This record gives sequence, structure tokens and C-alpha cells, in this order.
Amino acid sequence: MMKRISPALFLLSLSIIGFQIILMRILSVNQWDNFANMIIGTAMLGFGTAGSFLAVYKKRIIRHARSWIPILTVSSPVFMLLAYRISQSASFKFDTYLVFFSADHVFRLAGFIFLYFVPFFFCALAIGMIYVDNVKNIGKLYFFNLAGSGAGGVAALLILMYLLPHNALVTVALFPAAASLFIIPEKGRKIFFAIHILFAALILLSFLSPVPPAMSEYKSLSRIKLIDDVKIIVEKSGPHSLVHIAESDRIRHAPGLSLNYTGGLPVRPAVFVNGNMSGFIPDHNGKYDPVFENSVFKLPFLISDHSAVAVVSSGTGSFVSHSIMNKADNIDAFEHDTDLLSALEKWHSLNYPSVYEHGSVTLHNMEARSFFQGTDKLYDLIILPPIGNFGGSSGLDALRENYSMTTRALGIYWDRLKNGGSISVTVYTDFPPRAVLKTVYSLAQMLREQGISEPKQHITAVRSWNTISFTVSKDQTDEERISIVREFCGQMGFDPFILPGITHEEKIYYNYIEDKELFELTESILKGDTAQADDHLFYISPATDNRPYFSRYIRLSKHKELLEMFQVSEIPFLELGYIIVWLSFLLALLFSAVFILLPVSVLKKTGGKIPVLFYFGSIGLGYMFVEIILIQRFILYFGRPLNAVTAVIGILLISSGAGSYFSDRIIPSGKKHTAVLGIVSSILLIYALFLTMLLGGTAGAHPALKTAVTIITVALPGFFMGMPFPLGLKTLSGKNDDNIPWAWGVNGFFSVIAAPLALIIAVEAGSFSVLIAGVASYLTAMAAVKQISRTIY
Amino acid sequence: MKTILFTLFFTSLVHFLTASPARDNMVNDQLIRRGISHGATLNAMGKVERHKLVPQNIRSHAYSDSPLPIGYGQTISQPYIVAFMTETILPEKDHKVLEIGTGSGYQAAVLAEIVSQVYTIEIVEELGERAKKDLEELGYKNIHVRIGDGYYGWEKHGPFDAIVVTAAAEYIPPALVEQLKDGGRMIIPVGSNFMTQHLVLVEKSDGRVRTRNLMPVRFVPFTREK
Repeated sequence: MMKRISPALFLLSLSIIGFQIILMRILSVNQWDNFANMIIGTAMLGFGTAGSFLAVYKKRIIRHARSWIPILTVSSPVFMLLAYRISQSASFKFDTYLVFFSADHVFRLAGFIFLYFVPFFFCALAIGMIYVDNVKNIGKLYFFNLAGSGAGGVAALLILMYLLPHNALVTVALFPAAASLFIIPEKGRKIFFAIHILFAALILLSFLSPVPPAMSEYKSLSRIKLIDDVKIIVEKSGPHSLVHIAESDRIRHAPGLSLNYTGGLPVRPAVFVNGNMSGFIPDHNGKYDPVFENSVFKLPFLISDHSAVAVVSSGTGSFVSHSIMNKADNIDAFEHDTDLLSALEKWHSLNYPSVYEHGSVTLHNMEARSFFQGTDKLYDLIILPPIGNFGGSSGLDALRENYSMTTRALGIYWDRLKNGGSISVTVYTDFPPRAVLKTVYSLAQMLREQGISEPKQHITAVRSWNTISFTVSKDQTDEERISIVREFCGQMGFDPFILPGITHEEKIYYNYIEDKELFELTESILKGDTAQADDHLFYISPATDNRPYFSRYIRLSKHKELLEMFQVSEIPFLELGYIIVWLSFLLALLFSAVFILLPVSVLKKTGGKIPVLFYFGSIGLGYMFVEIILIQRFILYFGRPLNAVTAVIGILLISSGAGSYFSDRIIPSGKKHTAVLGIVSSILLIYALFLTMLLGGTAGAHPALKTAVTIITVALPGFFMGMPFPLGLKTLSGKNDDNIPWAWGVNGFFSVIAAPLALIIAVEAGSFSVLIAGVASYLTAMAAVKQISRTIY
Repeated sequence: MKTILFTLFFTSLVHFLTASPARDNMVNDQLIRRGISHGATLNAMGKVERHKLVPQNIRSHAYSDSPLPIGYGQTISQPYIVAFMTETILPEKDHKVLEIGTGSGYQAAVLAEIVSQVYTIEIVEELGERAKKDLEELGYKNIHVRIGDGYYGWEKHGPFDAIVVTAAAEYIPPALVEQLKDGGRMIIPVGSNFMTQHLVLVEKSDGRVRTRNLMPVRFVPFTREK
């Protein structure tokens, strides 16, 4: 049986993770990332619910396990395909944006979540039954489970490279169907093969009548498509994102444009990543761009040398083009999004050469920060990407890690400047002011950390009606620069925002703002008086590597003041991302309690649940905490998020699988079992204290060394973290079999809530705290080992 | 005397027959209590049948205190925002107003109750056609709807006393600034869909263009009991 069940389990595990990743992609493209996470997290309650179901009905089900497992296995792809088709139907289709305005869409969202709960439930039930039916071989089975999960992640990314998401979903559904063929039942074959026929029919339908996912009508791409002459020239799916490039005679791009400009605005192709506006393709290399010449973005080129320029997160290449136009002769552009670059390459092959092909430009497919830590090269000008995507999804980005705007990152950029060099960043003004204040605070803090006591002497900023542009220079602002800035502002109708010697009246002459808080707080921060800023209604303290959430502003401790000042209906529009993660956590907690914990507590009167809850809950939490933090740390380390995620998850799952396989040699509940948990806790504690130092010290090292560091640092805890789960189940086996499904369900429950919980802890207390929480989790499990072994009934 | 009494009776009868309690409540609760005081704006908001400019399936919510989806990725603005934008441009009877982004036609209808002529441009053909039809059915003769690109404004009928831009934009087309009269006012929202939007007033005076961030409207204020 093991020979057949192992590959079946491998393929089933592969399909669940593959399905999850592809579904997340579909939802990210058609709705928004945060909602995708929430929907998936809730749908994965199917896992925990399966555990409860097994716990309650175990005796009835296990008698027929060898018939049920194959039937459940082949049913799960049927439900995957059905869930998708039904969710795109008129009755179920929902729009995230309308959830805030229409109760109907709230119910549709609930229906949507339930639809996807079903396939996860069936998959998980099949896996749970495999475990319960083969508990003596749990170590080896868990290895196949983890290996399959790791393979699922890789498979999904590979499939997405070649297929559009909805076709990728159909493809991944083939895996559980294949899995079922390894375990054809002896009884119930008619039902088994009937389901196979149904599956085959659904596959055929999917190819003959594909259902592309319906994008929210409120996404940028949907709205652009309403323009009658718009053409989608490129549609490129990749592991990370779906990129579209659209052309129309009515798409124009003129950020930060002076209101005094009277000329025409050129038409530009627009680029969308996952349906969100990402940028515009600039004109031919170095061609004169009147829009740029009459915008806030011209300023750094007026007041700073710009022979050697670095463009961080260069995207479509607009700032690269500006640099070429301004005669920069040595330009380093940094863009880690391979999918975006690939789509641009395709577009340029049909039109004119990309700015990235210009002789003065070197394109680096990585984060700038990682490059800067491994080079001695110096620049005249470092241009950072604008903050606050105007047409995109600000507010939704609240909890996206942004390592390019932490004080450490700003310090790294500063170290890469020549004498007289500058850093330039533009912020789209938000209201109430948050992004601007945080930028001021971040720049001022960085300068102080560099030993500069008067940051104001090194910062110049000008304000248009909807942007503020900052230039931070190694040299102090002198009279010549002041004169240039004043003249620039007068010509353009901009106001100096930070400039020595300006009056308040000059700051609001062309673009009046009544509220003085923006100006007063800016002055205080620049003077070093940050008490008011630190106690601000919004969180405007600089982001750090420990808390790299630049776009996060809501402060829980100020919720009363927030509610006094804003209507409840406005709060989501201050920072939707943060609201969503809390909502995800609370929903997961509520539904998990109702669907996982409650049924077993009420319906299944078996003792010893509490120690099992502590043990399996703790290891469920701990594993996810560690995974999430390692991913974060290695995104920073690699400078290539996709590589980091793939590497960490792959190495972690494979090493955990190896650990699980090895665990068969360990006596459950014995000293070695306890020691394993102690080892995990110790490793994590060491990492909490020293990992940042290790990674920081090798960030600029040779790729081979970095790869070795990655493998060792991830595999070491991963190996030992793969052992507690199978050891725990073996502990229960023979002594307390009835609690095995409960254990599995509890583990699933805590795994589901771990993701949003880890994010909340990271945001509120930093990623260091998440690692400490991981340590605490494994120590709790260590304390519970003896307890679960004592539950003999 | 008889004539006066008859006029009063007739006016009251017309008001009684055409007035909507929901609309009156909207004016009182959402507008007056929040500080909207421009008489012409309040009258206009009390007259325009907002419910006839929204899709059938959401008519029951037409006068609620929130934006409403009207399809094609658009929403009809919250009544307070429409009133505030109207009041801010200081509309007068002889004014000519340009609107960029017709949407449902509601803002245009409110403006049409006050000013002489309203020129409105909508880039989405289906929306523009629907608004045109609805506005004609409501009897508006002084609203001119064009399907097209608002980037160019409507030079033929410019310059305008006021310009209302209903959808947030990252730039203001130079043509709109050009077509704004000296002394004229333009109002435009700033911010994307999932953000709190604020309004910016653009004023042109002596050939110089200046903006004013409308701080009090950074978010819709609470309705306060007077």
C-alpha cells in the first residue's frame, strides 16, 4: 500500500499547493492581493475542517478508508474546476470594491469563499485519511506530503510561465486525478470511474469553453479597456505577475506637471501589472520630453551633477529616459520584476529599442540595495521610485514589505553617493498627510545617523498641486542652489517646501494649503524634535529593516481618535491593507473556532484535547512564523523576491521532509523527541540574535557563497522542524488514536491563522518579535510532549 | 389677492406632487447639517431626481449617504461631495460650465439647475449615451453631452466660468487650464480608488494659475445636530 500511497500523496499535496498559488494569482489579478490572501486563508479552513470531520466521524470513515481515499482524491479536482467555473458565473461573481458599498457583494464574497472551501476540504480529507490509515509510516508519509508541497510551489510557478492563470488552474487539476490512479479502490470502482468521467468532461469543457477570470471593473486595466480605441498589445504571464501593455491615442502620462505648461502631452503606452497601472513606456532614447522638462522631476537634474546615475526600481524606464535626455553617460537601472522586463522586451521588439538597450545604460535584474552592498561604485544621482502610486492601489500596499525605503536602505544609498551627489524621491500627496511626513522623517533620520546634525541644510523640496519632490544632497544647500530652486518654482508654479530662508507665505503661494500641520511637523522633524511625530495620529516614524512597512500608517493605539475624526466608512480608505489583514485574522479565528474546534469539542467526547491543542497548535504556529520570517529576510538578502521565495520554501520543505523521514528513527515522546524541539528553539533564538548580522555581512559576497549560506541557514532549522508533527502523531497512535484527527485539525487551524498573525506581529512589533514568537511556540510544544504521551484512554 | 393665493396653492401643489421625502431628508441631513449653505446648490440638490440617474437595481439607495456603483468602473458621487463641488465653483445663472466625466449625469443635472449651459464630456461611450438619454428624459435642455476625450476640453464653447473634473487625475490637461476663464474656478479630486480623496480648487487670475487644497473636505464630516 505504501508504494502506491506515497506517490498519490505526493501528487495530491502538489496539487493543493499548486491550486492555492494559481488561485491566488487569479484573485490578485482580478481583485487585489490583500483580498486574495484573505480569500485563500479562509478557504484553507477546509484543511482544519477536514480534521474536525475526521475526528467526529473517524470510526465510520476509517472502516472504508481504502475506498474513500481514492474517491476523495479524484473528487477534489472536480471541485477545483467546478468551484472556478461557478465562481465566475453572474450569480457568484463579486467585486472587491463594491463590497464597501453593497451588501449583495458581501454575500457574494461569502459564497465565493465557500466555493473554494470545498476543494480544499476534499483534498485535506483525503490526506487526513491517509495519515490516519497509515499512522505507523507517518514519518515517511509526511516526507512525501512536504516534498509534494514544495514541488507544487515550483510546478505552479513553472506552469504560470507558459499558461494564462485560468489555463494553469485546469492543468494543475490533472495532478490529483493522476494521484487517484495510483490507488484505484477495490470497492466502489463504479463511483470512482464515474467521477473520473465527470472530471474528463470538465477538462474538455475547460478547453472548449474556457472561462477567463473576470477582472474587477474598478481596476485600472478594466477602465482603460473601456476606451474605444484601446488595444492590448502584450499580455504576458509569468511566475510573479500578469503583465499587459495597452495602447490608445488617449492614454497620456504627465506626473508632476506644471500648471503653467501649455504644450501638448504625448501619448504613451501604459503598462499594467496584475491589472494595476504600473507605468508608461517612455519615448525613444534621449528624445526631448517637454513634459519632464516642465515637471517636479526636473529639479534634481538642475541642482545636482548627473553624469553617473542609479535608477532604483526603474520599471518601464521613464527615469532612465530622463537621465539619458539630461546627458547622463553612466546609468545603472535596477528592476527585479522579470515578468515586467520580459513583457517590455516583447513590446520593444515590435516597436523601437528599449531605453535599457542604450549604450549608457546597464540593467540589473535585482534590487538596487543588494547591488550597492557589493560594489564600490559611486553615483552623482540616485533616483528612487515615486511614493504613493497615483493611479494604483495606495492603501492596499500598507503591509507590503518595502526594503528600499528603510533608514538602513537610505543609508546605503547615501554611502554610494559621490561628494556633491544627491538622492531624489517624489511623493504623491495624500490626505491626511502621511507619506510626505514619513518621507521627511526617514530622510532626516538617515542624515542624523550619518552624523549630520542639521538635515535641513541638506534637503531641498518643492511642492506642486499633487506632489512633493525631495532632493537630499551630500553638500549643504548654498545660495546658488537656493536661487536655482526659487527660479524653477517661479517658472513652474511650484512652491518651495524645504529650502533655507523661505517664509510660510512662500510655501503656499501657488498651491495653498490651509492646514499648517504639514509644515509645522516638517519643521519639527527637521529640527530633531520628533515627539509630536512619534505621537502622531498616524504612524509616520521611519520604516526599518525590522519593520519595513513604509506604507503602513494606521496606529491601533489611536483608534479612538481616528473614529472621532473619521466616519467608520472612511477608515478602510485610509489604509485598506491593514484593515484587511486584521479582518483576515479575525475571520480565520472565528470560522476556525466554529468549523474546527467547536465540532470536535462538542460532538467528540474524547479526553486529552488540551495537551494535543498546545502541542500541535504550537508547532503549526511556529512552522509558519519561521517560514514567513525567513522569506522576508531572504528577499532582502537576494534582492530578487521571486528567487528568495522559491528558494526558502523549496529548501524548507525539502529539509523538513528529510527530517520527517529521519524521525522514524526517533522514539516518540522520548528524550530525543523533546530534544528535537529544544534544538529548534535554540536555532531560532540564535537566528533572532545573529541572523541579521550574518546576512548583512555576506550580502555583498559572491553568489556561490550566498547560495551556500542560504541553504545552510534554511535547511538547518527546516530539518528539525520536519520532525515534531510526525513524532506527535506517532505519540498519539496506539494510545490515543481518536485524537489524531483532532491533532491534525488543530495543526491546520493554527497554520491558517499563523499567516495573518505573523504579519500583525511583524507590523506592530517587528520581525524579530515574530522569530521570538516562533521560539516560544516550539518551547510550548516541548512542554506539551510529555502531556500528550500521558493521555492514555 | 386671489392670484397670489392661487400661485401659492399651485406652487405648493406642484412641490407636494414632485417632492421626494428621501431627497428632502438628504438635503437636510447630509447637506445643510454638514455646512452646505449655497442656496442655489441646495435648491438644485432638492430638485434633481437622483434616483432616475442611477441603475434600476440600486434606486432604493439613490439618496443614501454614499457613492453608488453605476457600472463601467464608475460610481456616482456621494450627494455631499456633489453639493460641495457645486458650491465651491460659485455657480451663477449666466455661467457656462464644463464637466469632464459625465458618469451618471447627476453632477451635470445639478449644475444645469443653476447655470446657463453645461457642457459635459464622457470618454466611455455607453455611459455617455445612457446619461444623455436620462438627462433628456428628465427634460434638461441646457446640458450638452459629448462622447470623447476630455483632455482637449471643449474649445468651441470655451472659455468656461467653471470646470468640474469628476475623476481623479495625476495631471490637469493644459487645454482645460487654457479654457478656464480668467477669474474662473476648476475643481478636481486627488487620490486613487482605495484612498481617501481630497479636492483641489484651481483658480485662474490675471493669467496666473494657483491651487487650493480644500482641507475641510478631506473626508465627509459627520452630520451634526444643530
